[in-house]
Amino acid sequence: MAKRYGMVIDLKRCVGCQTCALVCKLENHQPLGLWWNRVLTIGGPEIDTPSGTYPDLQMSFLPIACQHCEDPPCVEVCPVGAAYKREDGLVLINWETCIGCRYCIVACPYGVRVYNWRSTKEQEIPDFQVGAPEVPARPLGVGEKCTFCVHRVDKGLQPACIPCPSRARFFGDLNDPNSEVSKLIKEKGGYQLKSELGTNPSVFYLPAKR
Amino acid sequence: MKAATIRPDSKNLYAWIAVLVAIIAGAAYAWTVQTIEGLGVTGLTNIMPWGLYVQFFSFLLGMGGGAIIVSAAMDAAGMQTFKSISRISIVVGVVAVALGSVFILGDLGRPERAIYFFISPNLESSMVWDMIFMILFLVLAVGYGWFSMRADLARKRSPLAFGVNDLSEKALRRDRTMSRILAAATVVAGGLVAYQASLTSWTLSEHELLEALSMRMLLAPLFLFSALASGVAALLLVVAILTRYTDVKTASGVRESMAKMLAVLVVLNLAVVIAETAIVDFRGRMLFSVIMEGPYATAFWSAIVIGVIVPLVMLAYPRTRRLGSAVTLASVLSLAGVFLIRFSLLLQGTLYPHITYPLGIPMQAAQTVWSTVGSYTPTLIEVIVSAGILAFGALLLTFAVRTLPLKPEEMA
Repeated sequence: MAKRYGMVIDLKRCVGCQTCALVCKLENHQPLGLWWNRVLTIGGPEIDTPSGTYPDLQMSFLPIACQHCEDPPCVEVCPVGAAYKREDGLVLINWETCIGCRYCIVACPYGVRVYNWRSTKEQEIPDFQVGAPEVPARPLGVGEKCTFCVHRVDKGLQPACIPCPSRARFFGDLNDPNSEVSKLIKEKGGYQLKSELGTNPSVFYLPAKR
Repeated sequence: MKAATIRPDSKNLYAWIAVLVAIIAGAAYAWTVQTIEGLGVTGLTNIMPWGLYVQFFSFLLGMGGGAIIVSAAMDAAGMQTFKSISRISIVVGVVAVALGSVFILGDLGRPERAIYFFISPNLESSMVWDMIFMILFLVLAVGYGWFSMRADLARKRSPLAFGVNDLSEKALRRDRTMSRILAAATVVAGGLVAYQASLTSWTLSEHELLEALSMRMLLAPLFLFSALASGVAALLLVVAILTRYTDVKTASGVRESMAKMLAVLVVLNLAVVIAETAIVDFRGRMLFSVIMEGPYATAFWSAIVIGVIVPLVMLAYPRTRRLGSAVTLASVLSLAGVFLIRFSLLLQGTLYPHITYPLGIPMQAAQTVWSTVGSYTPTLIEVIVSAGILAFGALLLTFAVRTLPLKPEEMA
């Protein structure tokens, strides 16, 4: 059976430190003001704030990036086939042919696609390439998002966000029932975001309360 | 003839063209700035990535399709009353749909790559079907127009007859048959183009509708009636302008019939809005429940009053309906109404991200770095670019009036 790369994020272990977001930003040389990976706070109205009143407070975190859907709406709507899904489940964008119509951003139910709104001169801070040299700089006027670090995965490495300080992230083959990710999903009740939409994401979350 | 009539030697004509060219030049500059600096110069963000350009695209395709459907249907059925307006409607329909495609170019981040629409089209994408139907519509409508005008073009010795100068009875009969067949085909293509473009700009279509695919069917009447209403309103407006400023005249009574038609379409449009409100409310937070509370509620409901109810009263009341200026005002209000209703629906579709926990979504905008809710106001650049594209359309219409046999004495 072909591989289907997937990720498991344990919400019980996530402490909201944003390390994965920062590592991702550097590894993939994301321009000023754009983030492929974010850690959202489920709780109060602001980041790192709880809901409720003391002492009954609730707070958890939701790290979110491209869900690499099995049936990705962004690929369906892309008029020129620049958004595509590989055999191994990775949803990618061809930055050479993307026309910048932003239909994928409209269609993505997870809000994880971002667009290069501003010319590269002012958006590149620092103004030299950081992170992985294999990651191409994106031109003005194209969409971009998490690639599951395709440049690392193709070399047999794990995505850059996986070495999480609180060990909340796991990566592997969802089609292999004996892989770490498959076992975690089965044993700890892994669920997908907005599974009712039928997108069948390859990113699974382990509940914060269990 | 009035003094203001635009004649071939008229200074007014050149002044008019000069104004249009100036607006187009301004838009070309604004578009260059947008292409070099990026779409960050617009009011668009990662939460609300579609705005004025996509709205004009969808509106103009609906309007163009709508304008041609009515008169081409009459033409295909062989109704003589609408003959004087059928050529104008072809010109309006073709120009409006062609302008829609220019708006899509204006919206692209990398317009130089638009060729990939043809190199690697993805047939699953609604936007590709916009293009397919648009091209189909333009080919059919231009063919329909050519066959219905060919004989008159040949009589005028116009190069647009492409050397087919045969005026024999047989050739004229062939023209009539062909133009009837193409008129019928254009009606179908007009419906497709109007509906399809609305579906694409319908920003909920790809995810919310995964939950409720039946919504697509519910939305069909809303899109079609608003497209038809805007088409007839645009036609009435163009006819009013042509009657006032040029030699192009339409048969008496046509405008009043069209005004009645507009009234019927406005009623149908209002009826589907009411029906949709009722239907969707049972499903929870969707379409109109959001529009009734959200930041676009004021725009939406003012559009219903000013753009639907007021013109409806003006058109229903026989005394105002026979008054040319009142019909023109009602057409302008209906156009504005359809535009605003569709615009508020387009914008509210992306207003709230589906996952709204803080920090939210990165905006790459100077004012807001992160946000959990969208906001959009078109910038001056967007307004100037849009005005330029519309001025280009007005220029095309002006040339069409000057070169095509639209005047009664030119029609055999």
